[in-house]
Amino acid sequence: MKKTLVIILTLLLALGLASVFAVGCGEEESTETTVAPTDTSEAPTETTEAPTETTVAPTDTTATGEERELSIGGIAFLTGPGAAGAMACKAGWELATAKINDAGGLKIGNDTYKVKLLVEDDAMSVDQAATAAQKLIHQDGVTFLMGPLVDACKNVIYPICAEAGVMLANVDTCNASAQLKYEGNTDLSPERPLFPRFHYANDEIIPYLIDYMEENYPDAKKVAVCGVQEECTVALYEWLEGMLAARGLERVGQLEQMAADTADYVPPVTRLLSSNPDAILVAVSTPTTWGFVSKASRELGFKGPVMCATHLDVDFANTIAGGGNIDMFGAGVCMSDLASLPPQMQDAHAEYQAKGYSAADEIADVYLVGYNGLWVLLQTIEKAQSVDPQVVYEEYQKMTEPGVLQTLWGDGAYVGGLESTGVNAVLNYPYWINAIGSDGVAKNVQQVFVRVP
Amino acid sequence: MDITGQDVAQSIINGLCMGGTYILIGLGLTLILGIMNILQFAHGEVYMIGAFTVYLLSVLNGVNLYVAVVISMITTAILGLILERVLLRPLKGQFLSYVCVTTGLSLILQTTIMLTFSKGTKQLPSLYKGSFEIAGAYVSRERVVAIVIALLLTLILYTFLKRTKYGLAMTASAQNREGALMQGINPNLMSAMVVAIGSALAAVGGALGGSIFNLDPYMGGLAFMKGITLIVIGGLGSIPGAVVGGLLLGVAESLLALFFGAQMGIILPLVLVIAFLIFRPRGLFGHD
Amino acid sequence: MTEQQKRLSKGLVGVVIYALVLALPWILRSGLGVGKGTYWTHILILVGVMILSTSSMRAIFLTGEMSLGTAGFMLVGGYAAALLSAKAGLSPWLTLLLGGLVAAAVAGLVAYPFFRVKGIYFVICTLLLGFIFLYMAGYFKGLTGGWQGFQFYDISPQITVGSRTLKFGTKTNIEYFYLTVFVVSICLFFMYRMEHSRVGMVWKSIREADVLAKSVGVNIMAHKIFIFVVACFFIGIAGGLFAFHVHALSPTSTPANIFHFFTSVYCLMYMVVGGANSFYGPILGTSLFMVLRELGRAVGEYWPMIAGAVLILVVFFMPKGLVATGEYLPVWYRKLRGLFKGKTPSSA
Repeated sequence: MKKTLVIILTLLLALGLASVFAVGCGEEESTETTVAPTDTSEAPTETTEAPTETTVAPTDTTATGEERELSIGGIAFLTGPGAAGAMACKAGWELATAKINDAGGLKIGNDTYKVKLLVEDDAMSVDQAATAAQKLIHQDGVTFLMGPLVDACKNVIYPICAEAGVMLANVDTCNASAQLKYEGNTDLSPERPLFPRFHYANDEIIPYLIDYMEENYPDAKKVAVCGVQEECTVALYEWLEGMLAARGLERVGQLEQMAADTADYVPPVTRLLSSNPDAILVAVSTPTTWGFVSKASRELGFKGPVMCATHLDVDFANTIAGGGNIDMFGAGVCMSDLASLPPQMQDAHAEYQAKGYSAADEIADVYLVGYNGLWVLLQTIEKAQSVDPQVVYEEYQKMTEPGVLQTLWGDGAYVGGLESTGVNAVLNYPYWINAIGSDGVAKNVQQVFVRVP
Repeated sequence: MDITGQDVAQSIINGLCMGGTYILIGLGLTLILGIMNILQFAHGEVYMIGAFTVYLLSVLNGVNLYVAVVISMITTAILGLILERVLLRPLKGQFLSYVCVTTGLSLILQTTIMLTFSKGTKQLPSLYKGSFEIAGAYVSRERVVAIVIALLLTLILYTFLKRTKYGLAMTASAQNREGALMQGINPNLMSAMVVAIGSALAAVGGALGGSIFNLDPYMGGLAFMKGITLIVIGGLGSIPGAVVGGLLLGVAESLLALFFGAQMGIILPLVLVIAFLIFRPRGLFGHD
Repeated sequence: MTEQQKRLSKGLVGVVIYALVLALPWILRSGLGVGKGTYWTHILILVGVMILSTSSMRAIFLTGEMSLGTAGFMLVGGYAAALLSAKAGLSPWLTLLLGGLVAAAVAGLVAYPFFRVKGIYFVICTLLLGFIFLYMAGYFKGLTGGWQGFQFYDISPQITVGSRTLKFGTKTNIEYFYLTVFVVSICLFFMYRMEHSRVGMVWKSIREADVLAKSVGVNIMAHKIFIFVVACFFIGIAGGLFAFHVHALSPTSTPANIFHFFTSVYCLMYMVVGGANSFYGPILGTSLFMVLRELGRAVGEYWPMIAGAVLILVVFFMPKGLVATGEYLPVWYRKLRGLFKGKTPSSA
């Protein structure tokens, strides 16, 4: 009795496998035919749309065309530790969406597109990121996706997007640009089409931070480096040796890497300080890392500046580490010194408050980064006069004229990066350095135009 | 890189100070394990709730920090009593059920706190800012306060266990449950008391941890791990063991991190604990 | 019905369910459309992987010991398979097996010392071991890529017959679904046979009364080590299946990471909610929980709370799990009726 059952089951399984094999092999031989249906199922909708456009247009030339919906996806870690940062980024995306929709939507040709934002959670985990991308692309049909905020997840999602012809816009900071070669680099490259970047990479802004250090802390010659434990931090550490030497500075000590579950920063900072540095550079950071490296170094009697290359609000980093730290500076925008910022940013902040987002979730400038990213993407779509990711991407690459794009941080933005990354898809724009000086007051001290040749 | 004697001394001091917060979570775990013979997986979450209660009172409502800590102790003790009565007592001695109920509870508590408080990282006010210098080594003031509080509470607990009627009854039922039962000691009362005391201690640990580091709803997981680590080293169910285990763990982490980097400072103590469990399951101070 | 007829009907139900599972991707594609079908097939693959892990965890539990190191062994299997394929260039078919073997070898190394302790102490050992694996994967980042993860898109299991190549791991996910079903069925079949053989009886006797089992000459240690190693082999294979589907691994210590301790807790939950005493419990629990979770993405933040509450409720009110719903319904019905009639259930 049992034997017959086993036989039946095995037969069924074999049958199933055989059928897959047959189908799969068939697919290889006639890839076009199996892929084509999915394409044609989309294509007809486009072709059916096109006639309606042409039929509408002749009858009423002044008509505003049809109102449509453009779905844009976003992936961020909405749950888990650190979710606050991603929630802030999501708030920024929502603000940019509302701004465009309130102004009547995107005008493309005769049509008006209302933007529909769909944000999914990746929980900072690769499998959840893949699931979120599968859902957004296949179930919700988005054609533009705003990148996950974690490097590991970017690498997982990119192939899924590329296969489906979806644009993956890298809105948040990139830890190390394509110039630093290491395995798993998440920057854009000629082999990765449809992958524009709307933010700086840490190695692109570090020279400006060193300029600031030389100007304000002229005695600082020896720089110790630390950062979160990632391969990109190692790449930055190696690159820094030559970069600092060329400026007559010295990189001292070994790289201190803060582990995932490091709660106590005193032991690694003790190690860091054993090389007697004049300044500490946190090359890749989280708010906690920068804040607690500062706190621990002060407790251990360190007097020099602590700088950070990841965009962070210095006031925020200081607050979560208990407050009271001095001589910290880094890339970022300090929201407590709003008055010194450009009007666009002040408007964005007013919108943020008007929409009723809680002040507690205002994690530094993260929502501005999200806002800015989606805003730039929507500007590009409107300029390209198309919702086809490929067309938008090509248009984006042509925007080399300074001032062609507006950003929250200031005017004069353009697209560059051909020389350093091999593809012209990096946004060049003015960014800010914020600092807590020796007086303990957080300020936005300097605007720096991050240029990527 | 040269590690000088200075650095080593510095690290030992750091480690001893860190041990303070570890002891407080370890004490509760070891008492519950000793008397009820269950591993309270949600103990880390009790620690977290203690810290968040202090945050709610002192940061959001302006109550004095030390008063807030006392209120938080009472709150978590009541929480512990409810937990023992409602969830643990009905499950008489079923090992898998205990694991399920306490892990399920820890998920519930984590999510509740995450949804109640907004998601940003939080910080309690520092107990005592700055640091002072002894013979070239810097000592953080707040860490000294932390270890003093921890040792003081341990001393009080120890006196309670050795000098009072209830304390002796508790020690007796930890050592020999059947014997204690025959002496007329009510095991249910003992269980309730031990969960309440353990939870209150964890709350203080959470408050200290929250002011030295910062608060987030997932902080309990890490604290729980430190807790198991130190009670295994010290000997399961032993109070002096928990104290020595906590200090030892703090120093070990600090020194290992100094010599082998931050990540190894986390990994190696875990390896050490597994070695302890296998080769000396009763730890340093435990008895068979 | 005679015993034979019962078995026959049971078998027929099994065959029908199995056929349905095999047809699922096509049903989903025709019912929901190609895009949604693709996405749900992806979910089904993950369900398959977790079913294998949960069932293996239950196999260890047959001897009465609870391992909370499931996620850790998945990590070992997954990384071993992926690294051997990506760095040593071995075929994914081979490394899928090797991943399992590496996990089994690691399990073999720690099994003897671990089984010298029992109960909660064994739980602590396995729990910490899981964390050690996670941190190690982050520490040796030259090999594993560290936090940032390790990616290998172009490596997928494939079969070549003549000029035709069938690649498992394409956009539609269907091929990989069948691969998962195939591998998981084989593993489950082995586990089922073991559990229902003489050896399985011995395991149960160890769980129920280990002293008695020992006194009749059962080598408890050998049996425990054997089942632990075999189960970890299967968990390693589950890790490999996961790796070649997602094509990226990362040891981030966020609770949502599949290699984090929380996955072990979820496995425990799937097992207990489904029914720890039944072979079908983990399968039912995992499928139900994971599909519901995906359907309820909107309440994503509340999910751990709901899951925890369900776990506690099941422990209290349905200790035999969902597979035994049939047994509980009449009892509840009688209780309810008793309540309305104002009588105690026993007198009803």
